[in-house]
Amino acid sequence: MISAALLIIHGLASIVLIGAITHQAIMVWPAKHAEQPQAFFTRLRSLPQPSIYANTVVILYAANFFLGAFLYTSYRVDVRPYLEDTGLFLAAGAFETKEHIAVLGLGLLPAYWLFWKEPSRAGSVTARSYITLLLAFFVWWNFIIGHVLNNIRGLGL
Amino acid sequence: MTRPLPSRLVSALTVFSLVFPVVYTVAYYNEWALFWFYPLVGELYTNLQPPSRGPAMIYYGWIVLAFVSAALAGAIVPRRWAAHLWVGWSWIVPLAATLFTLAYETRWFQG
Repeated sequence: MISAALLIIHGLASIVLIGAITHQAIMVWPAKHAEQPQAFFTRLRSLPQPSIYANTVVILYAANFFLGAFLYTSYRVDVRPYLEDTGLFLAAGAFETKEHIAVLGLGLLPAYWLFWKEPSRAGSVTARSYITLLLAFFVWWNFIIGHVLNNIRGLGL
Repeated sequence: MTRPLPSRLVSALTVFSLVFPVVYTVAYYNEWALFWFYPLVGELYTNLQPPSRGPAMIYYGWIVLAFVSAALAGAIVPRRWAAHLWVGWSWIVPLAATLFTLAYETRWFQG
């Protein structure tokens, strides 16, 4: 029961995280041409203090990670043996990538935070963009795999 | 105007984010960990236990190994060395670790 409640909180927190990091990723995505000032994406990309997102993303990512890591014991004891016994190796393998990607994202957080707080070194703005896009990819990857796995019976996979 | 971050902190965070993905990737590839966790009995061991203890989890052991290694590296690497690191490594190293991970885990999908 506690695991189910934590899993729901994990899912909800990941939705907030995905919103924050996706917005930031859109902001750092290079514009191909001069944008109309009133265009939707122009307004979406222009936050007065984009670095304020950095603290939010770090806290949400860390909270999500530790919730997921705590829930991992339930997965290891109850879910993974079921996946392996029923031959669902695609799902088990996808979850393996999720766990690794989550850790790689955790290790990326100090650099991510640093480049948003102090983008003063040469090349830092470019590095900040790539790090943000990489972190956004991590979050989306884990979100999709987590939800597919969570709903695997309903999806009929 | 915000104050610049202390150079010691900048150096430590930069080195941490470079070392962490490398150590974690090497650790899981070689199955090196500081400990194994047995969730059914709720105990940590520095070596593998008989199957009667239930499934072993090495995941936490990899994370702690990578965290401790990266924190130590961040603490001991001199600031002047860290200042000379090319800024592009900060995203190329984790990207390389990610691509390696995705490629390595395709082993699950090969019959």
